Amino acid sequence: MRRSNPSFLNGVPELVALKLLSRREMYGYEIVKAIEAETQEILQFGEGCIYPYLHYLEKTKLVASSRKEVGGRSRNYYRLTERGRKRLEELAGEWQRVSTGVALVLGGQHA
Amino acid sequence: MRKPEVLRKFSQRLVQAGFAHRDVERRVNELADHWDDLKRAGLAEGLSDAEADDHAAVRLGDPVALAKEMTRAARQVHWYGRHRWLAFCVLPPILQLICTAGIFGLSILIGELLVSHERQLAMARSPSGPPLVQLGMSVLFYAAAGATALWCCWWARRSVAGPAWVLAACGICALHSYFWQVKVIGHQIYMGYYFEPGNLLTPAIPLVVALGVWIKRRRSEAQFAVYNHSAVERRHVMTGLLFCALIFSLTGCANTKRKVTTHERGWIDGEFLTANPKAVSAESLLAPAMDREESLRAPKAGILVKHCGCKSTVTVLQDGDVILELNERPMSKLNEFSRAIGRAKPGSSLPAKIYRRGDLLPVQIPVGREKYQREGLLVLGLPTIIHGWDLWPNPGFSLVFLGYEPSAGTTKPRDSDNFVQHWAVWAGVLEFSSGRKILSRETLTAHQ
Repeated sequence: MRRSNPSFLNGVPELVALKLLSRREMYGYEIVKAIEAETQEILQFGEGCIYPYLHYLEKTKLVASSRKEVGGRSRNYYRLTERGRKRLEELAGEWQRVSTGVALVLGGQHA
Repeated sequence: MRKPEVLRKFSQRLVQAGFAHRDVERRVNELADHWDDLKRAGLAEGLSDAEADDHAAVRLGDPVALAKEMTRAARQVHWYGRHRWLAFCVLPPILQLICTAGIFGLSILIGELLVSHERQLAMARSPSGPPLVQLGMSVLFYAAAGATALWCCWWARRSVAGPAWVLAACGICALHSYFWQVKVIGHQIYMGYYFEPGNLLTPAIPLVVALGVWIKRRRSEAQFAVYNHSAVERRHVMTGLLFCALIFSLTGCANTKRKVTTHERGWIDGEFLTANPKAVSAESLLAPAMDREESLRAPKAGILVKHCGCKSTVTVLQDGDVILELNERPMSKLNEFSRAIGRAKPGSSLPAKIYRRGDLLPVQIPVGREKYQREGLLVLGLPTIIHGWDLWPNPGFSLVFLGYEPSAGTTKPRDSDNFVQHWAVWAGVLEFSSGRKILSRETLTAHQ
């Protein structure tokens, strides 16, 4: 039996950021633009909010960062680690389970 | 809002929260890059320079809220950031105990490995042994207090706990150091909580550590051009000074309110043991100079003079003598002997009958003066269920950690002792004890 009862939205920003970084390494502005583009601007937020999540993921060793110079500008690029890949699989599975449950409730089906 | 203003507000909040200089710099640079990208996008959409700035400011969000969110995220990483009350208020005293135990254990190990058995015996017999141990224990406590304060500062830095928590941890360390002490009682080492108004150095160490951290931080931030930190630093220094004032006023109050009453009693220099009754009686019976009637009357036990102290005692007693009677009362227990000496008037002499190499001799033992204070102790520790570590194989020496092993009653303390315990009661981990704190001891010429 689960002892904790996490909020439905806990881990969503983490899941989105990890998923995007699983494709290629990105810097903060790129990640925000990718979220907006891929969600067709459904998910919109203060763009600075991405950094606390990225730093948290970095501290917990789910992503790693490195300073790179591209196009004459030096930026912090984030990439997924092996630990982050495992965490992404866990979060994706959890999200599928939750979204299926919510869809069933909204669809009016009863057990 | 313009970019410099946003970045200034943002960095100011981060520094106030307790972020390290390099972390602030990195976050500000990232935000500046993001601002530039947003502005470039705005300009590409045909906005003016001012409009593009406004566009970037709106898209990035409020810098104060952003700094707050970054601080919250950074605190979530470590358990000591999530549970700051536990880490900075409850754990420092426990860490101090662990640090003390660690350094203590290491020093014992080094001593055991490096000091030979013969050298240990020589040190145990040397009168300079206990003061050296006292000095070593003091250094140990200073090191433990400093290490704990530094440890808490490191935690605070890693978890962005902020200066208030550093202050709290250092203040608690200082208060704890004020009461948590080590005492060297004879050849025994005793750790516990005492109330000693004069103990000022150990509590000062965590406060010095806190001030040192602030000074270091101030210097490193002075190189950081974006943020003017003067207001924050003034606040920190004021809080630190308040803590210092609190500690030292408490100490001052304790010093002025304490009444010290000194007492004096009789004292004799030397080291004495309860003599083996069988050995004494056997030797007495074989004594050539003792007639049969007198040897049969001789007591079967006495007090063995293990080591004579000063010159005035040496003229009367010799090592190996057995005191059979003192003040016309037979002596068989060390406590009786101590009481008889204690009751005697300082400067007087007591008639005694001693046994020396088969002879029974009447002597006059000079009584010295011992000045003392009565002292009661409340100590938190562990009752000594097992014996302490006997580092030096001397019956009078035993090293006890977090506890106290009362004297087995076989030895009378020598003049290096500064405390004589009368009684002690254990209640769980609390010990209540009473005894005499020795202020001075002197030998006097006996008035005939």
